Amino acid sequence: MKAASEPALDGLFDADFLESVQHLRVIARRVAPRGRFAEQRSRDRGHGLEFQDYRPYVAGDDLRAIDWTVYRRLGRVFLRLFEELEDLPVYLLPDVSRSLWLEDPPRVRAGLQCALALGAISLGHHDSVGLFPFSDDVATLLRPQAGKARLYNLADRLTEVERGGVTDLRRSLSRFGALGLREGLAVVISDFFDPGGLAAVTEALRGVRHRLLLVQLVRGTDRTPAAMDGDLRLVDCETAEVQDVSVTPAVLERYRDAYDRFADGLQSFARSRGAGLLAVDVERQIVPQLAELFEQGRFTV
Amino acid sequence: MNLTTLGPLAFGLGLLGLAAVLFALQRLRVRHEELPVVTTLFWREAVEESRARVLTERFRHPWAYLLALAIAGLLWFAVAAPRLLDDVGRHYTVLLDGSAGMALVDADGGARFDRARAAALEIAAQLPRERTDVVWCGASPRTLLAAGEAGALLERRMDGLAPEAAPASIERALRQVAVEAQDELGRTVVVVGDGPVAADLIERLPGQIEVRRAELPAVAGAGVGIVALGVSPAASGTWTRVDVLVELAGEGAPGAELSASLDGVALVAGDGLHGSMDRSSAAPDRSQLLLRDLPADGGRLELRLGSGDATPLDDVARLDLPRRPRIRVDVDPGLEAIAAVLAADDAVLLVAPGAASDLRVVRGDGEVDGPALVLASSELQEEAILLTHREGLDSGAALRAALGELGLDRIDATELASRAGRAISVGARPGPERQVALWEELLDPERFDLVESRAFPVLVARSVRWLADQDPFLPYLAADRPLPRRLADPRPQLTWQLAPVPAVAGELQLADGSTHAVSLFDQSATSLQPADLAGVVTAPDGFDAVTWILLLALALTALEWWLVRRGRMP
Repeated sequence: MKAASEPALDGLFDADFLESVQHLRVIARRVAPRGRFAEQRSRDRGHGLEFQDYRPYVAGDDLRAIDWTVYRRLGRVFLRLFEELEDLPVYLLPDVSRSLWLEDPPRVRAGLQCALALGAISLGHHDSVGLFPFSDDVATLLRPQAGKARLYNLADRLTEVERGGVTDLRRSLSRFGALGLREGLAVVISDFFDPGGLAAVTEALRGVRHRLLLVQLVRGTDRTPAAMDGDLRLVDCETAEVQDVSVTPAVLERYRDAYDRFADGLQSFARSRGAGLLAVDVERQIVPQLAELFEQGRFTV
Repeated sequence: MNLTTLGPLAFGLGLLGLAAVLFALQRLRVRHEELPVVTTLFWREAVEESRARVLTERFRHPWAYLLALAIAGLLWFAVAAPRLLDDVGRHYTVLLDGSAGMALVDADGGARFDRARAAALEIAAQLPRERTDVVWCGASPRTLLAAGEAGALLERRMDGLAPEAAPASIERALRQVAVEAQDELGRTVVVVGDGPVAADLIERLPGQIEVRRAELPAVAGAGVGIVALGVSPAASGTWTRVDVLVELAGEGAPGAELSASLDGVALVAGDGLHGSMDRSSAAPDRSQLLLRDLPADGGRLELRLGSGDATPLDDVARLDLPRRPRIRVDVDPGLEAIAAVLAADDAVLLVAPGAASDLRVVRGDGEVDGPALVLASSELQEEAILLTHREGLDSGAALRAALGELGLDRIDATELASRAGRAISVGARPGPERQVALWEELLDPERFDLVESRAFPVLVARSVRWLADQDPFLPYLAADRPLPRRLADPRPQLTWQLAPVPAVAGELQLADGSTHAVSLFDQSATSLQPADLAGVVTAPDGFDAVTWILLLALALTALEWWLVRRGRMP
């Protein structure tokens, strides 16, 4: 594994971390009808290994699927239907904009650990995993590849990410969509603090044609800013916009209201879109949180 | 800053300055502490209202500004003058009390007068020079600094001033101010000192005059002082002796040590020569001493309190005792009844016929020279008793006064009339000298019982005294108090009676060259008790106004704090 290019990423992954993510599984409820065989269950029935049902034969059906035993008994031709297991292309989209690098510990660290954990799970189940970090644009750091051996390659790529610029979800996800990738699961790992606000975030996510798993990187002080008092000049680390604030209890109350509206809006969007939404506390260990969120090892998207 | 110092213009300018400063502060850019954050998304929504104090932006939050201005304005108003509106053209008089009471040494050892002087200087310096007088209220009010004079003169003119052994002249000064201020819009009199001011005097002052008292340290106690000293004829009846009453007041008066001397010779109580001293106490802070049978030969009596106290000027009192020589009477031979009465009279000294005398007792049907008790014939004198009084007086008044003074009212005139067979009348007439003429027949014991009656010695003794016409002695002489005299005493020749008594303790010199001791008997200077100052106008209502203004400012400040805490004000 190469050394991290950013000091914030020193010691990002270690053996214990990689070991701890092995038992996590993501099970897709639906997958694309095409694609390479894999161990993920599909609702489509076809030529998989596990028998599921019979149906009458129609012209053009694969003769290999005819159950000749039934034919002998009943005199009619039926096809044995098997559950078709297909792979789930997983596209990891970690946010590397400047806001992810600001605090201590930086959110990008938790975001990349999340990406690797989810990538490891997918690779472990023979899914192909691609890496597309984004900020004001999206970059293809790793084309979708399958195989457990790709995990270290993925880890290497993750440690190579560079500090991005301003978060621009619309542009980034639009470019991502233009890559023409096979339909899969897009995992967007971000704080979702797009300067355009919640409207820009939902608009950008709505345009993604893949299934969505949103991983929201949060910390306790997002909702309740600590040690803020008096007259402050707040500087947005991405846009350099300034906001003069005289911090009072009333102002803090209004801040919390605004944050809650944002969080609720993101959740509503995820619910309406059928997307998963994981809120990961960047100040806690990542794997235990994922284990908890995946309901002791299983999480359905 | 004193409440009376600020004119309307200065007040307005001050308020304007405050408004400008607050406006500038309101628009000043706040020095913010810079803090990088991951996003300002939510802050933008939360603090939309917190960008008021930016110099380059439009003026926002006028209500916040008005609230701050109201608070500052109220404080400024409280400091400046709650009675500002009537300050236009107002004159000021500073009365510096220089009475005996101001010689007090305060509880902390400081000289009260020095403090009062410093306070008067400070107050005068703050008042408008062209409308302020400073008046020294020592024995008599005297202007120290007239309106318009340079203020620098005041300190120089105050040099050497000291409390005088005189009662307070504050009230006199106030009466003068009342006359001077008749045509003025308003005048404020600031009394610097403890001199009492009667409440009824304050009520009688014109409405445009207000009296206030400058604050001085509280008085701990004035000690003991001599508040009264008076002389009266000796209770023993000895004509040539007098009794003297001394009254002390103040805490510890009953036990105060008092020494007395007569013409420099110390009196020793009970020595028989100079009388005796009796002490009585009517109250814990009162004590009276009676010096009996002191010689009435014109000596000067001095009383001095032994231990010094906070008010030294009332520790000494002096009084000139009257002269009461015996009346020398020349009695014609053959008038044994009268001679016998006179011989028993302690006030009378019978002299040999022809010797120098103050009056005579003679028989006479014609004119008699000089003061005399004349025994006249009833054939030649219609009135049984005829008084001759000095010319220039009303005979009726003189007669009415003499009825009691001579004891005529004690004579049983009805009995005399029945025995005489004619009316017994009393008359009066003017003449060059006093004389009393009565029928000689009335002394005939065969016909009348006058000689045997109890009224006869009274008539003779009193007639002799009336005829001797000795100067009545002054029971006391107190600084700044009118001469005590009997209202019915019609003696215009006593010119000294019209001489004013000095306002300060010392000497009173009469037209005849004689001098009399004048002492300070001022209750307020001796006993500065709260009761003594009860009638004095102290701080005016302005204090209450200031209090309310400050309370209102405090309430507004609390409101602003509450609004800030609630986030309704930047």
